[in-house]
Amino acid sequence: MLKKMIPMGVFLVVCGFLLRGLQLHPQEMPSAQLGKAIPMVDVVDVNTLKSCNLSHWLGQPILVHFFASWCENCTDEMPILIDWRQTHHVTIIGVDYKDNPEEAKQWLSLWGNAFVAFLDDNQGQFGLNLGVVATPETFLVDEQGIVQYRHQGPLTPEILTREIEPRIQQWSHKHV
Amino acid sequence: MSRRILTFCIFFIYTSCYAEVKYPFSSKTQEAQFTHLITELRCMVCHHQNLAESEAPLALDMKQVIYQKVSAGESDSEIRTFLTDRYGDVILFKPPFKIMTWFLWLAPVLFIFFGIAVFYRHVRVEK
Amino acid sequence: MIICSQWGLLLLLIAMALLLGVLILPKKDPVLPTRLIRIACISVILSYLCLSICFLSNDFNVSYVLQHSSLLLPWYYKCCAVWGGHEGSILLWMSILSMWTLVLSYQMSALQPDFGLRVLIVLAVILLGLVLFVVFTSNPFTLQFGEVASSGRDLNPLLQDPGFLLHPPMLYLGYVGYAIPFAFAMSALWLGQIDNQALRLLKPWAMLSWCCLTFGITLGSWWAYRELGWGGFWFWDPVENASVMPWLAGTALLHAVIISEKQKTFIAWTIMLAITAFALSLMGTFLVRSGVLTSVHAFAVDPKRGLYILVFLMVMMTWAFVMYISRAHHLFVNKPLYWFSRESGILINNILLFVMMLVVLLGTLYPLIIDGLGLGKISVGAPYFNETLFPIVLLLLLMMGLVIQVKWLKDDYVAVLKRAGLQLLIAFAIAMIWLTLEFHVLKPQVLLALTLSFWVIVSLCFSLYQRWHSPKSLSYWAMWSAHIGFALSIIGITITSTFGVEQDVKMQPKEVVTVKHYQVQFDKEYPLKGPNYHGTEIHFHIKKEGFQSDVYPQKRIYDVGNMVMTDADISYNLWRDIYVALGSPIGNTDWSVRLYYKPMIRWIWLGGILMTLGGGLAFLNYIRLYFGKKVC
Repeated sequence: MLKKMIPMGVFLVVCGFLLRGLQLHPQEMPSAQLGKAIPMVDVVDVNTLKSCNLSHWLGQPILVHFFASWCENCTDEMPILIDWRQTHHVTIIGVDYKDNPEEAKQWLSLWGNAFVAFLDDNQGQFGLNLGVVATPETFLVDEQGIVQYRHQGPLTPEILTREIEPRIQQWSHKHV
Repeated sequence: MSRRILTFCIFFIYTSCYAEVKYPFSSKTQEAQFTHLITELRCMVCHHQNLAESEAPLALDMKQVIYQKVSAGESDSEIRTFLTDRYGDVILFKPPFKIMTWFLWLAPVLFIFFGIAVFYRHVRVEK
Repeated sequence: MIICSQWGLLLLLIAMALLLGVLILPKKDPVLPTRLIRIACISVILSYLCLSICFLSNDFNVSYVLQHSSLLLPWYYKCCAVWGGHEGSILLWMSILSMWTLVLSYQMSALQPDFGLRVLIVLAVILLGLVLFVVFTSNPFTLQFGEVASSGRDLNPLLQDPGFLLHPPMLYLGYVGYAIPFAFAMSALWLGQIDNQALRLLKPWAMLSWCCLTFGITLGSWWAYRELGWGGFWFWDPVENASVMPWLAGTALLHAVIISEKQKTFIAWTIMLAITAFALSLMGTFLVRSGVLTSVHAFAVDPKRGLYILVFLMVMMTWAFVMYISRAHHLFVNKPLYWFSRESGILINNILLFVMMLVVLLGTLYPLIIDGLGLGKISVGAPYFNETLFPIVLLLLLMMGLVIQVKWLKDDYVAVLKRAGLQLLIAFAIAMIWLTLEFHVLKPQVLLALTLSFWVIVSLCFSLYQRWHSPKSLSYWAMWSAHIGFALSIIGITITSTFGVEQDVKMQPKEVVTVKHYQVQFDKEYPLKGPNYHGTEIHFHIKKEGFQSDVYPQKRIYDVGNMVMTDADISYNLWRDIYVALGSPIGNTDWSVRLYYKPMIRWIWLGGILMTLGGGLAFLNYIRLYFGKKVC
């Protein structure tokens, strides 16, 4: 009798997984960089035209934000980032992904600039090393340079409030 | 006859050189390695395609990187590790053999054993 | 024509009421329930026709028509667009189920009254479940008045192809067809018995579903090859797997049913496989529509609909399992088979087919299981399926070649194995010679696959030779055709996967590229204008010693939505395809072009057609027997 129940048991277990599957998001691929140190790839700072890497800004929480002038969603995000930066004073580094830096400069002057600095990644090397799939993509890096959170897609006030701010607050409390 | 062959050979060489192959390799083994790698890796933009099929910009970038690595003589596992470090195990269409996938890879053997057991139960040897 | 769409909805509600009535009312005699079910079925079919009329009359007030059609769409694609989206395709599912149920309701005289009634009731339950699903979550008749002067959002260009006219309906005929064997199985369990007459009626239904599914899968593979521009014919995409799993269970079912009449021991297998095949059909429907797995084929994702289908699946299958556990022992006699007989051989093949089905199921669901357990995300793709299924297919071929020549009930294994050994040697020789002469390479795996495939062919030829002077029945030709078809498909798959060549090049006008001794020349570029698209067409001239051909691959941009599509063109014959697909334009005159040389690829679909033909012949044979019995 018990042996006969095995196929039904297996079936119910499979259905259990299928039920669970309805709540998951198979399209979302988690970042492989979470918990790892952010790669120090040499890129050119577009404003100073000097080669640098992220070590320049370490020691504080940073948002590394991949964008491009050809990216439609990025325009919606910029005002949100500018607003947020005014209240939260977090360093935001822009990375111009697979784009022409001149066009990006023009785009920033048109749509606003929330970035402390913006870096040129026209070949996409920095993006490849971070596992970037498409713009916009944002990485939250802590003081030690470890990637703690990654968001794909445009940033919204909800994401900033729900995911980014609590983490930053946690780190600042550790100091105190 | 030999003149025809000669003309054909020149034509053949001329046309082969003339066409710009996207990923030219110096050896057949490297070419095979490249082809084999790009069919096993998943495009992270169009999830249902492998890198060989995908025309997405990210896929083209990755193919370029893989091309450079294969030309430099790196091994399959080195290249795979490079990509999984950055994109996760998801990028491999062939699941790696780890604890998490033991069941996946060993299950077919297990099923065959069950099958043999079922066969034994239903069958007799004596006439 | 708003009225037409509202009629469509009304007809569904009528069907719903009738089916509820059938289930609630006491069933003393079969006449009334049968009549009510028939009317409900006709209602559903008429409802589908209403939806088709809405499409053909461009009624964009119906939001489903707006989303999937356009004024510029040719009329035959409008007919297909009806099943282009989730709501319409479920309505198609239901219409096919109604059609089959209607036909079955006229065959009740072949069955015992209680048995027949229960079969119809099971089908009514399934149909009711679907009607409720459509009415409450997937109504194709919802109206919209927001967009007044629209010309429609157009059918996805990928679907605007002759293959699409037939592929989904064929698949649905197959999937839905397995509801009939399921109903028979449930009825048998319910009553605790199944007589030979019922089994004889079950056979054509199982065979018909299998034929449709085989043809549907073959068409799908051929269509993907032509449409998608990469020369691939199978991708192990979850939706493709969703069609292969019922196919594997269905193949095992039709072999089990053939034996069940003679050997009562197989009845349990038949019942279990009938339940499994339908369960897999339902699960396939779930996987495609719920968003649980990423797939290019998936319909617009809606977890709510997914939940409904899953609950429906769980309810049906729990019912089936409970019935099986409590009552299956009434149905079969546990008489062991002699180990070297055709029955035991078919048992082995059924086991192998079932194992293949489990492997495909596991591979398809594994990413979900890992994600569900919170262990992260992995991908299980073509390499996994190809590597795990290849050895099992080899075993299957081995058994196939052997079992064809083994006698029923019991046979002498020494004599048969001697004969088989000789055939195997002949097959090995043919494979060796062919590989060396044609392909100049002797890869061990390829040699093994070819030897076994040729062995099946040699074994079938021997069998034909033995019966040369005796009359050959329709069922013999059916078996012959279907098994040869399978062997040919395997040969096609093996050769094209191993020896196919791809060239990805940049070409200028008048430039020539050589692919496997064929010179392909970029001749001229032409602008292109179609009924609902525009773009570029390039003329390529293909030349080899003694052979010439022209191909015209296109790059199309569909007017509505600006979707870009590559339409490859192929120079083909039975032995090889030369496949030319356009990439992207480079500069003003150059183009990136993909050239493929695909040896033996047509054999894959030829094999599929032969398998379908074999099934069709067997089906005709059953029809002949059925009507023969009725007459005399």
